[in-house]
Amino acid sequence: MSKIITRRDILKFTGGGILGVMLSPLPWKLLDDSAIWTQNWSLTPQLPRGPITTAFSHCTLCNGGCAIKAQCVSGMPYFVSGVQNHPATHGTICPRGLASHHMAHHPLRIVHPHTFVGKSGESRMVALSLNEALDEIAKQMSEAKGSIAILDQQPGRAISELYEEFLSKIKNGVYLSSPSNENATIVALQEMMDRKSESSGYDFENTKLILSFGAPLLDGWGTPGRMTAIKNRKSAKFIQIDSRYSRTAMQADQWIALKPGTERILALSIAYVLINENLVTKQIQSSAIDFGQFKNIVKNFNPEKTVTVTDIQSHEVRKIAEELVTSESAIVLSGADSGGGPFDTETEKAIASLNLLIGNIGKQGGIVARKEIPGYASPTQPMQWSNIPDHSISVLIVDDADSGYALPWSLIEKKLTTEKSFVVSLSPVLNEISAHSDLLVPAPAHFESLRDVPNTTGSATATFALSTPLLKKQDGTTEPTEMLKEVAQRLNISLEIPAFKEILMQKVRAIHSQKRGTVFSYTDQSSTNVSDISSSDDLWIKLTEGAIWIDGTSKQFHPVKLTFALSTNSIRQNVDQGLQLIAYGWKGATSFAQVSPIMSKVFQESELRDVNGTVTINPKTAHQFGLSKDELATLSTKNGSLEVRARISTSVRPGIIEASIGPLPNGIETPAHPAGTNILNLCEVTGDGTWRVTTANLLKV
Amino acid sequence: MDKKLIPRGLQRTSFTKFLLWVLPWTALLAFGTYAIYLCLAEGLFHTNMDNRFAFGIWIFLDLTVIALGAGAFFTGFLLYILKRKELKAVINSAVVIGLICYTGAMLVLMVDVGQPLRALFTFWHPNTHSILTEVTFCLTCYLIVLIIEYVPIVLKNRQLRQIPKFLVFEFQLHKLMPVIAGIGTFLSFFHQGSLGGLFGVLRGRPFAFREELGIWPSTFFLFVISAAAAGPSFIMLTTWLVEKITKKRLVKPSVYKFLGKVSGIMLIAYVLLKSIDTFIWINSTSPGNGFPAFEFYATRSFGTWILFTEIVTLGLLPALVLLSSRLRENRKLLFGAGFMVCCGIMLNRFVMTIQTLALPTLPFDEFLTYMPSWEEVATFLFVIAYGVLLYSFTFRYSTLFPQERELEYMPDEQSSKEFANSAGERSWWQPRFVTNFINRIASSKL
Amino acid sequence: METTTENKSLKKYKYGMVIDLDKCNGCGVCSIACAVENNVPPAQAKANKRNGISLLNMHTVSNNEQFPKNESAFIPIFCQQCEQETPCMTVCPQNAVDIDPTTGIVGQVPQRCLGCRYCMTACPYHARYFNWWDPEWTEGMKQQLNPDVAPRMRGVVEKCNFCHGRLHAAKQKAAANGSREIDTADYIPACVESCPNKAITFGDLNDEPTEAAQLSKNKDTFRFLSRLGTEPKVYYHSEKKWVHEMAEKSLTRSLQEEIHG
Repeated sequence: MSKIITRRDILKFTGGGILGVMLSPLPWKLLDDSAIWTQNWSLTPQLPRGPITTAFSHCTLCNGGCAIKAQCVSGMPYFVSGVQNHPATHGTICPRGLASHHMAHHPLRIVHPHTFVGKSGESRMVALSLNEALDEIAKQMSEAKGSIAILDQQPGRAISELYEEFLSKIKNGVYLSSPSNENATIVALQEMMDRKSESSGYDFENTKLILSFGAPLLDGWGTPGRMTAIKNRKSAKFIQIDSRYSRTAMQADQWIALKPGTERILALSIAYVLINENLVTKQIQSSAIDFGQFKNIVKNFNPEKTVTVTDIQSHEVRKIAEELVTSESAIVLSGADSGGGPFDTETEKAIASLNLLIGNIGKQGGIVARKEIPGYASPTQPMQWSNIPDHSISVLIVDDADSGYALPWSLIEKKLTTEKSFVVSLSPVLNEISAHSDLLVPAPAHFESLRDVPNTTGSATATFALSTPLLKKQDGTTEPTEMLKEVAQRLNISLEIPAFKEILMQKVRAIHSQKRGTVFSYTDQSSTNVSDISSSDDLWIKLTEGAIWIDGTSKQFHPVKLTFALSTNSIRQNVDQGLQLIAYGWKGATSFAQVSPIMSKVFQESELRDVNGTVTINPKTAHQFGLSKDELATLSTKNGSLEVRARISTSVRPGIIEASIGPLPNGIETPAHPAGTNILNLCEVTGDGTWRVTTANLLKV
Repeated sequence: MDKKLIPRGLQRTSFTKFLLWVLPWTALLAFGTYAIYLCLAEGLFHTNMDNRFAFGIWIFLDLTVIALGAGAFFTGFLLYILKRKELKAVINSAVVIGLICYTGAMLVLMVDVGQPLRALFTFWHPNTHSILTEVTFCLTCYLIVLIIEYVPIVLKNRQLRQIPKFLVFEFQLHKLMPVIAGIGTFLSFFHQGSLGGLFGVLRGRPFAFREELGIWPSTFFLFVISAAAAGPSFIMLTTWLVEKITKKRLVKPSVYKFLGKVSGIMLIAYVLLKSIDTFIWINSTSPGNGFPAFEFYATRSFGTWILFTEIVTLGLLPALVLLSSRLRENRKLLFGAGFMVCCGIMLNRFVMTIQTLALPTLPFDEFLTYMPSWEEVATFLFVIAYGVLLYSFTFRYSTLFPQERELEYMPDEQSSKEFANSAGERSWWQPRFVTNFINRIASSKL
Repeated sequence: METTTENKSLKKYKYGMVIDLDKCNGCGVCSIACAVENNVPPAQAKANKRNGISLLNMHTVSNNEQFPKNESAFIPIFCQQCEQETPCMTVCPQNAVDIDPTTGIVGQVPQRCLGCRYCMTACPYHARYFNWWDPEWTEGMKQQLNPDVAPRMRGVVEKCNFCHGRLHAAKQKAAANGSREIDTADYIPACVESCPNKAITFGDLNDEPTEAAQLSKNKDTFRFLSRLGTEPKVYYHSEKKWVHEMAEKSLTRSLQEEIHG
């Protein structure tokens, strides 16, 4: 007992103890378990398992109608990409399309009709039954004092025809579309040529020169793959006339940086050169009813005089005019930036008229008339926003389709009756419009139901495809056709609406019976003439499995009778004191529509694209207003003020504030928190239904 | 109340007063625990670190604390290996401080890594090429050494001493001390150096990258020497602080002066080597990687003033003060210089971590700034509170300063006299001409 | 003996990329394709460009000329797959970073990563990302994860690995067909596949006739920070003089910008 502990004992005890514990399984088991636990912890999701398959469909997030290939696990798409060798997309899709399969699982997805309870700003969403919702719509429509409008941002689809039919059967029916239209130049030309029922497109594939007034041609315009293919083929020269260094201006062969809001003046000064130097074809001169008047107006726009307004030197104007004429073929088109708002009608006409002056109408490499799609009625143009009287719409139904272009709530609000207006949103995902709606009747989400994809924007050929569902339709969602049918029934309107699938099968039967065109199948990359397909059922199967019907034959025509119908010859631009605010966006990701949460990679987790609330100014402007990089500033216009983050770049014209109206930073507005930070709300919407330039002020916070 | 636990012959404040002292630190400890909980349970998004600033205040302060805690190994080395007996007066305190610094740093590191439970992988799948592996191995081993060194201090407690086995154990352990100190010195040498090497090896960070000497970058050696300089100064400062707080005299003035001198000698060596290293870096290493060194100092916040402050103001200046036996006489100068040494080492660790990360490498990248979040600060306050508490308890219930009993009965004047008498002492490693030279500089009126 | 001969007969690849900056219009397809392919979670509400995870990160550079003479370019930055003294690999204390000798691809083993972030400080390209948050998807999106790529847990580092999931799938396919070599058409990273402008060329840099190998030797092709000597395998191509000048600059300009705001 009285044994003395020696140094040796200590060492023996310690060493033996350590060795003993180490040799026992205890520490190793514990270490192993804790490490395995960190590798499998429940906060990291389990991967889906199952057979890997490939499915084809078409993206309907905008009117580009891109073909997509979806890799699926257990039938659930997990990677969406373009279809190789596709005649229109050339195998590419846009970022939004790449993440399009997420839209059905968006955090703001709703699957049941909802209404709002409580005051605005603090209202709550309350679910209600479909019947209650439909009753409410019918009631509101029957009680409506003003007009009843349907806003369809992808006109020309099968559902669009039904909307138009429905509206034609009620009094005060108004068919509306997005204020920004990628086909605006064609619409203006059809007006001038009195060929409104024609279906035309741009023959970009065969043209040598594309003169674009601000159209975001290389940043998602039309079918994005088509435009990039043309750019990469280098078959046409791109001249971009743009007040800002847009993505298209950056990629174009030439960028003409004009002052904002002076597009009409530049277009007419080009016309001045064309007329003055006798470059206008005799044929146009003779077929234009008001050529004399046009000449008279254009007389004012001597490039030597307009330079102070547009900031474009006269020799540059002359050079453009000469290029337009000397080029084998050329297309002049206008277009709004996705967030910047459309041009006013006078500007549209001025730009469109250049096409007439250079005589590219109906010609290869110009603006061509395409064949109609069998089974579709000839298109009618939606009502222009500027033609709708203010405060005249009592009931507005907003279809779930998106144009990709911005639509300020203030513009809609301006047209709604001041009291008792009723807005219904069909969007499956809460968005800016839902935040202002009275009733939400969500349609099935993207890829959840069968849709038709007729002629895509600006296409020179007639095409038809189907967007086959890739996902299971969620219970509680309502097909817009169903909604329309039920409401018509409640209003005692005789409107025959078969099941939507049947409607589309009718179209396919019509295509088959006309035996026109070819079908390009995605599965085997083969083209088949429609005449070689034995039955319309076979054609239907081909189309649902992934195929596009194309009729490439275009109709030749000459403008016979045309009116320029320009009304203003003013070369002054209304300039107020202060800075000029110009908004910009990115197709499909303006504040109107929602994007997949994964788009945070380009908006939030990098500075590739700008979120709402970011403004960019020239260093000179910054110096003048005492602002430094990334500083907070208050942006104010007549419509109010907002706190914004100021970025500084030499790519911006001094005196200009470029403001992004992309998705709202760090989150998305919900009905409970309607847009407050949205720069789009600061833009001044004019009587023309546009918001291109707004006088603004910037103050350091 | 706890009288029976207090060492015989020592005056300690009343239990109530002690409780009042402990209370706020415990509150701070609780606050820090909450911050640590947030970081561990919810994730490191609670910090303000990001993908560019992957290291933040934690790594910076860890490096600082480990450098300051170097007093434990260096004092041990001087006492047990070089037999500088005067250091017996502070060795216990040095060991406690070392233990606090190292355990604190380890704790913060465990919060800092994203998957602390996988820390053991370093021992399972070690990458022998990684200098961080070296750090982990040495730190872990040295922590064990520190615990072994701490045990006898705990066993000095009056109640524990009554158990004969403990007494014998302590005695035997004491005999082992030189071996343990030797191992400790060896381990410390490597991990202090490896911590410096962490940054010196960063080929991708030309601001931190240094030439290799043998298998280690020069920062390896600079860190060892600077830590050896800071350690004694920090012991000097902490002891002085404990004297101020407890209103007691704990060590003889000669001990302070000796610590100051050791610090001064190590510091002057460090300043010399650091200057050579900086010179080589500016003229060869950095431009060799395509980065003219002056460009690193182009920003307002991190201008060349930082380099000057680091080497001259907080390096050369205190070194000269500490080397002069005459200036060491002045308590204010002595402790002031000691404080500057610690600040200088802190600044060096700041430059190596924070400045390195703030500077961009890609031509289009930006200079970044970083501010720690409250969770980061609170986590570090936890370490400080923990340190104060551990030190307070050890001080109260054990004998940290062997000279305390003796000094308890020495009048103040005698102490001051002694402070004066011990002037002019010259250690065996300090050449006479250096002392004379420095003394002359110190006495000449500039 | 036999195994060694077998190893020798295995083809040694040196996968690399050449990015044509003149073709890139910064559309962002590659970033999104990368995130979808590699199961990178969407950003948390508080995430930003400094702490978010975008394995393929786009930077914007400018020639700094005044409007309208200004020009911009986009530079996609992701792991540059350093061949020599791979900075991240040498520093990792527990071998969570490895370089595959048969492909030259620098890999990251998230299941072994401690999350010390030392590799992030070591990377000169800032191309490594830390999971500051737990990954989070909506319930439905969890069903849409790529079954070939394991999602990373909170607290570990991740980076581009040239779509390892795709290489793995290609290898499996080759093995099923009884071949040891993969069909090059089967292994194309998501960003390369999806780039609408065909700005990214991917391939075996050892294989002279491939487009990637040819382009990498083009006189207008360069690498960022090649002077550090880490031999990255991601090349950039531009015919614009200012882009080359920008790429060769060290810190001066960005720092001056900072000063003059």
